[in-house]
Amino acid sequence: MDNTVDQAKAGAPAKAGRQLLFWVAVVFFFAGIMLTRYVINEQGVVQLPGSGGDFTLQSAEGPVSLQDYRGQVVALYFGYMTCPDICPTSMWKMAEAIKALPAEQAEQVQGMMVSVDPDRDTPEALAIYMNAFSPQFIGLTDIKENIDKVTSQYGALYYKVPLKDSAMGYVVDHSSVIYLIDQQGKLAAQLRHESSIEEMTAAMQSLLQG
Amino acid sequence: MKFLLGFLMMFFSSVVVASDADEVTISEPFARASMQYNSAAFMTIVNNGDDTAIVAARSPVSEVVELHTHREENGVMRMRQVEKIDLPSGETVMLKPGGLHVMLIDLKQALEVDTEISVTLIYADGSESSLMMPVVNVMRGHGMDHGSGHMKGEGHGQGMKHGEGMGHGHSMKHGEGYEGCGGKGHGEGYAHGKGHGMKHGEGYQHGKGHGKKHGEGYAHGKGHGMKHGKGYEQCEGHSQVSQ
Repeated sequence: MDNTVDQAKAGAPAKAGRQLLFWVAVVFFFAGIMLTRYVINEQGVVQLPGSGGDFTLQSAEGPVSLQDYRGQVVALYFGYMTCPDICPTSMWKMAEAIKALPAEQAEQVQGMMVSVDPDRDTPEALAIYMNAFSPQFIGLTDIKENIDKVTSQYGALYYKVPLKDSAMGYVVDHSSVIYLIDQQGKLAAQLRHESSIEEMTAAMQSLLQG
Repeated sequence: MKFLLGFLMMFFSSVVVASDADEVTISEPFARASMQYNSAAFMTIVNNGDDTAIVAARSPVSEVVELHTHREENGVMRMRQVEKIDLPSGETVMLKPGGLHVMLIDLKQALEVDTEISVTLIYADGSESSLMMPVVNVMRGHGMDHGSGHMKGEGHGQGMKHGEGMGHGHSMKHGEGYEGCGGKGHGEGYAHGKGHGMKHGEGYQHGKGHGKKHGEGYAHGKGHGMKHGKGYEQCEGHSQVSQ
């Protein structure tokens, strides 16, 4: 009988301790989320994910920075080369949308794809890949850490998923969005995968005229 | 006499239980242009027979051929391998960009626009359809590019009722062949159709399986298409083939 009373008394502080631990865990959990949700860009400025911003990644001809394209509109896509369908569709639409512009405007749009699969896609292979869509397009990639920085800046998602029975080994699940970056380097529009070529052309044109 | 023989062949072949390949008609097949690594093939499949499925595929252009699909979840594109592509009885199944496709993995050659490739589908009963398909830019099947080629395709659809699953692969080639070879090419196309039927009969006499005969037919179509694609001289070559 006495024993059970003792146990009940001892249980109260233990319960309080557990509660404290719980709240500490909750605080750390949210702090963690807050921290990972912010992006520190190239200039060391903290920004919200998905707000875009400058970056430097590797092309077959050396590093390429978004800053190099100030004064031009940049159409940016995140994909990977072994993607047989979604990525080529997007790149082809991008190319067609640019082609539909008057020549002097088309020159003002730079198409880019960042490969989120650097293990398979070398900058050299990417250059060949991009050339098939447009000789003006640029393919970029880098070490994962650098890619991840850019994908979080733009709010692009990708996940490497093993396919155990497939010869592919793994695929990369990814969001399929064309990001339009204006002449000042600011993320101006996000074109969803379903966007038509006409919509893309119109979005590019509005930036070029604006 | 020949006609009688042909008639008898047709009569007997209709008595034989049809294979999956016989019951399936495929239209508008195309493969996506790709310089390296992978590509995908798309088509519209109508199953006029009992429930079946595509269980495998192969192609000389890639090391591996798999069946894949896409699904989109919250804006994220997820590509997954599927064991089979079900072809329910009486239904039309579309293999199209953003969805089901025949995945050509590890290409042995670049797939260039305006060329053709061969893809063989294998059904649940083991029968096969071999298709020749054009390599096109990515947007075909998105409702674009559906000009005169499409109408020619329909013309061929009639041909397919004669039991030639390959009719459509043909149709694409026919379209091109027509331009390349002029009226002559077209006329030959007709003659070819007849020749094909006869071949069918011969194959039967040799006691080969139905699927096998089809295989011959397709090979025939292939040669035909190729030649059509390339100018007059090869059209001549074609007429020899079909005789």
